[in-house]
Amino acid sequence: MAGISGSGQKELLEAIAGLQPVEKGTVTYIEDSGETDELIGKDPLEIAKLGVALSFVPEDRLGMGLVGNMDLTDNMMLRSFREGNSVFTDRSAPHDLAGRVVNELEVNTPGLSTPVRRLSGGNVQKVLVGREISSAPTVLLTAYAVRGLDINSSYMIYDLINQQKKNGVAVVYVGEDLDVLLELCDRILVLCGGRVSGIVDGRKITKNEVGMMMTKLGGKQDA
Amino acid sequence: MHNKTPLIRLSKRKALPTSKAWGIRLLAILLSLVFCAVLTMLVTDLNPVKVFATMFQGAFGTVRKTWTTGQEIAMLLLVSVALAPAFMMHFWNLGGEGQILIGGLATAACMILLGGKIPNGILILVMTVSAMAAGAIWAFIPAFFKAKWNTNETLFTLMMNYVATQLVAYYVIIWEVPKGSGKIGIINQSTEAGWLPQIGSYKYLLNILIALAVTVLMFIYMRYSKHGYELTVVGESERTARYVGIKVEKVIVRTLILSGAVCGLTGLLLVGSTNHTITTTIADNRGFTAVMVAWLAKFNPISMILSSALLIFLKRGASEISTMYHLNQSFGDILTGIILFFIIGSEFFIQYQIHFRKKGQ
Repeated sequence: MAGISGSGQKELLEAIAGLQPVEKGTVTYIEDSGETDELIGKDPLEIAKLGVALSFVPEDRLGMGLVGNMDLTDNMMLRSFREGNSVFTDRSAPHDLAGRVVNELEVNTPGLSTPVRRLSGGNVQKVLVGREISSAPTVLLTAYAVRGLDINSSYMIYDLINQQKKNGVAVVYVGEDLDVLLELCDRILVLCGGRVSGIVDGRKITKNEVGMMMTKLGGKQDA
Repeated sequence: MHNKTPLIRLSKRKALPTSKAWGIRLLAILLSLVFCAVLTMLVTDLNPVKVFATMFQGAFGTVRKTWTTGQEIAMLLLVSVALAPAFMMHFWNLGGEGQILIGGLATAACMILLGGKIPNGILILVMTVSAMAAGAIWAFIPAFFKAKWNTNETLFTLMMNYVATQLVAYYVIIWEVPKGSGKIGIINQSTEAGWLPQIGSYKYLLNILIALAVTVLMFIYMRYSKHGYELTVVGESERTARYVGIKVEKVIVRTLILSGAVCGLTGLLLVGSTNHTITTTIADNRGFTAVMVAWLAKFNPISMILSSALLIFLKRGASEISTMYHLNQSFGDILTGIILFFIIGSEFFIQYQIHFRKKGQ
């Protein structure tokens, strides 16, 4: 998904995940078996249960998806703490998951009981993306996953997303770097001023054409 | 000349080991005692060591005083523990006062209206349930408005205090004994109906045990239960909570019902166990003192045992000083203020490190 920042990318993803009220239109979730589900009107929890995971990296990085003052283990638990019938939370599984994410994504942290707020931006994002992927989603919504990351971490996240694609996960990726979008995407949805400017084939289109669509609906030049 | 580093600069510390943090706190208390001693000598010509000894005498001088101190600590602790989950959720419940009063009023109503009419055991059960329900309702109202229309909980809970005070004042006149005295007096003095049982010969032991038990339970609830986890997330970031599917409104209402119920329980103990009567001042500002206790303990119920003990010790010590040495009532308060100032100030030095300019920089 491409578009100038603030053209409605965030709102669109939030609408799919059930966080934004929708005025009109439909969001249809098609299962592998061909059954369809209407997502609008469902609350975020029900949508998440279908396997739709939203990993949104906001400008302040912590505002959504993570709790800054909680440690890595507790943040891993955000998605899974309801599991089981016990009144009490189970911290051992999230603790293992935190350990795995730290190892696999090379998160630089003093320990698993460090509050996420103390980590650097890149490491925070790895934790967030790592957790969303670990929940084995069927649809992965991710926005600005590499915002503010160094080149090495960025490529690590691109690899992760590509792996998810290979595993058959439908990935909706909102990005800012057009070169990357053209490399990663099968189809690119271009937004302009809150409207869909067009849906194009990522393998055939050029950077210039996408750029034109971003600035003008439909991307056609005036005479 | 102008490129020098500043003479003093601050930097945020990385996590400090617990032992070091406590070292700083202890140092702060020692410093505050030294400061108080110097001030006492300068202003009153009294021997500061004697003054401190008097403070200690005031709190623990006799067996009776020690029990009273224990009871005071227990009541303050219970209110603080009640506020803890609400504060953890960043819901500033300043209505402890009103929730205690209304719990106490419910207790008194049961004792007066039902005393002698039903067996004592059942009466106490009814008292407990109605006191906790009354406190819970008093907290539920502002919580509901906050959840539904995002009203300001600080103002709302404060206002509820005044409503509760006036309600109590109204019923005190209705139930006054003897007529025209403006006081209820000891309820059921002859029958002792509805008086909570005394454990052995210790009048306050029941209160202290209940307060400690609730503290431990609340600690477990906040630290290890799913509810506790949810309310922590809501407190830290409402958006994150919504995003992971936590129903924020439900959590706010649920937590405040718990908070109010424990305040109501405090009212039950104050009326049913300690005083056997009700006045508009029975809460004795505990609802507000508890705010400080909770903050000092960083909302950790177990630490609140320490911080409520400290505040009660200072309060009782200060009043002893003023009566013993015929000093102005305020002098004890000044000493209390200084000690608290040092303790709260020490948190700053635990968070930040001070660097002085080195030569040649």
